[in-house]
Amino acid sequence: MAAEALQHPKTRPIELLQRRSIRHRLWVGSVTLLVASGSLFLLWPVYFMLITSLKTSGGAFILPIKWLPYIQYEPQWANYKEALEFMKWTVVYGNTLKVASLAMIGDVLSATFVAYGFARFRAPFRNTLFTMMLATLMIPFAVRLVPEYLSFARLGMIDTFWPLILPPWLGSAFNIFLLRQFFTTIPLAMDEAATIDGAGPLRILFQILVPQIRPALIVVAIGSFTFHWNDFLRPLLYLNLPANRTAAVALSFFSAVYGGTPFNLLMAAALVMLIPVLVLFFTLQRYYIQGVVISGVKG
Amino acid sequence: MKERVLTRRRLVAVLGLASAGAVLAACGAAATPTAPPAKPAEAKKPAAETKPGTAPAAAGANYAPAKPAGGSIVWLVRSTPQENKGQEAIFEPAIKQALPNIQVNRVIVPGAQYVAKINSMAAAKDNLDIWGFGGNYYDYWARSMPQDLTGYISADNWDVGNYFQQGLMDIYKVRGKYYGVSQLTTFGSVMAYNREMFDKAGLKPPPVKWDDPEWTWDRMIEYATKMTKNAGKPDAEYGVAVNLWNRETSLPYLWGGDCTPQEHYTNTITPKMDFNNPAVIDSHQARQDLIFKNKVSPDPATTKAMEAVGSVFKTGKIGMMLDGGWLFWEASDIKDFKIGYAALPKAKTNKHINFNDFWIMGRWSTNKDAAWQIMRVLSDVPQTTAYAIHSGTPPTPRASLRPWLESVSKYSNMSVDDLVTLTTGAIDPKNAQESSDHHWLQFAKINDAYDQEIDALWTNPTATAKDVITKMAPTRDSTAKGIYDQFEDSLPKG
Repeated sequence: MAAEALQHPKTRPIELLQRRSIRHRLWVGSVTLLVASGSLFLLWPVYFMLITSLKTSGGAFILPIKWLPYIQYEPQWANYKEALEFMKWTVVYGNTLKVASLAMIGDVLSATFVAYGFARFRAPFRNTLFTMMLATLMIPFAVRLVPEYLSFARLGMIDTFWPLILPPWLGSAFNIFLLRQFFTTIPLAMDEAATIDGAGPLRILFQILVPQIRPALIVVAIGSFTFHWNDFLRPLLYLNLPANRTAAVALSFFSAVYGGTPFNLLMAAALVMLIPVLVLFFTLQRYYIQGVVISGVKG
Repeated sequence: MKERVLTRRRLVAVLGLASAGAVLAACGAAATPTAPPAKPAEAKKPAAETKPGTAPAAAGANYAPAKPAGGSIVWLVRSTPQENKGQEAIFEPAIKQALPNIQVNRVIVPGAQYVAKINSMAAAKDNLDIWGFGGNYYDYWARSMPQDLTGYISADNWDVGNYFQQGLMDIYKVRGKYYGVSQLTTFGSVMAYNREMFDKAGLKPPPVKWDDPEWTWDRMIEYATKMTKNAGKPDAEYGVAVNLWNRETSLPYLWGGDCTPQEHYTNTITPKMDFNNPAVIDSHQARQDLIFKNKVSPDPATTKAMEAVGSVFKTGKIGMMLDGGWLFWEASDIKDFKIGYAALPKAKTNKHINFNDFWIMGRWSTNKDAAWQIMRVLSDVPQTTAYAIHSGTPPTPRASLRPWLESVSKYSNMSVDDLVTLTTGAIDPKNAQESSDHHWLQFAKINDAYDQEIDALWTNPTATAKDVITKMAPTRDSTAKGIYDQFEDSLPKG
């Protein structure tokens, strides 16, 4: 019917347009309702975190669950202050921000260079090297844990941020793979045209190719930042001193033995810990979704 | 499509760029690894002090060494907010005051990774001077990890037997030598009860005396029956939950028996357990009956659901809860209903598990004198008293008991005298046995297998304890024998 209407625009009756408009509104309404329900469903745990964070320590466990602050119980906003002070938020957030930012820069830069190399340069054993690099994705961290720890211990890097920052600067197989796939979708003719205009490899990379793979770089950046922001095991292994503590480790200190975990404080701290990642995500949301869509199709 | 060829010039250019990037990264990160220690201002203003009146200041340390040591010490603790706040607010300032030349690095490790961290630090001979908070200390001893402290105790003329609560220092005395300093006791296992459910059912609170002949398992069922409502439904209230940990031992104790020969507690290993005996069978059957026959206890699925939001007892839907003495501090923040504490009821006895922790000095410590002096400050009465009140956790020196019980009295609405009767009765060696998870080598191996197999009894109403336990017994023996064979020749001789 739509095709017919397009073929004979002048013959479309007004009723049809009106009916289509109502149908369209109904469709948009239904979809909105569906998405809203889905969002509510997904946000429900976050709401549970919020209401638990506002309860007293003992009140967090009482059944039946009280869902409505101000109506069913007096919200304890002071929990946020207590939780942040307990985890020494200025220290741990500062440390985590340093580690996550430097690791993110390392991840993006190293992946860009290596992926560029694999995508654009001919070199002996290139495909074999690429396959070997991909194979490293199959090795679980638990297997690398001990030798990695011993290596950093011998280098005198325990209780420093180096074991957390250095590896991303040496490349991550997944990020390299992702960016290489993006590079290969850009026609070589663009490189050749730039070469004719006198551009070298670095100028081609930064002025021709990087602007075109910006969504992919943002996917890598957000993924890397989120991973390092939430990383628990590595900081736990490598960092001991309180001055070096990171947020994920500090968050784990709310867990107590014998069921003594103060869930209200834990939830407050966990909610606050979400904020930087949410800010980063919403700031770069447009590019991120573009990157995910493109990688979903072509990556 | 023409591909770019990697020439030497390009390779050199790329390598140069990569090196420059690495140098830049190193410069950028250089400041981070050498992050300065916590500013004095932060140390002076601990988080716990934000609640005025809740952090009583330590009244100055009594312990003063003749020759104060110096250097630095690594002190490992587990993550538990109540304890960590107390360490920061009470112990650290006291150490600074008493031993200003010692730099203490308190390392907090999440509870789940705590023992693994101790083991890995010991294996790597990483700096670890003092640790406490559980683990299997006979296992530590078997691996020659703890320093023998007998010499230090003698040199200080420290009468540890009278300084600490009855019998506590004997627990980690192996072959006449002290390997730890008493740090924490749970005062055994205990019953916490919901006063409001008792009042509603018109019941009198259960007694605090451990030798009360009226307070029996059957009386407990009678009470529980009166308090149970709508069992099995979403709004159910249950009379009792027997959550006693380490049920393999704790349940048979109540029936006057044990699942293993006594030598397991002294030798740390045994070639054969004694699992298939009437005390084990009857006690397990009694617990299953509470769930399916008497219908006064939540079944495992309901318990899991209730635990989803934390502690079962804190839900306010359980009349009586039998568990380790951590109920003293775990339940201290309950404001929505009134609570109380009582002795365990007698089935045939009311023998129960006591859980004790010790400060232990690493044998490989490179600053042992300083570590010892820190351990003394950690055990000093002003600190242990203030810390116990601040954290809610029970103290071990005799002189700290009453002040701590005064704080327990406030939230439990019980008299201090009643609490003294309850706690001192609980750790009387004739009523209590130190937990097997602190005694038996490779306890986790024994316990994990038990937990997995015994579920057949707790989850299946038609299963009987006799059948399940008879079936489990050979595996229990073979597990014990395997551990015995592994360690028989390698235990320390001295």
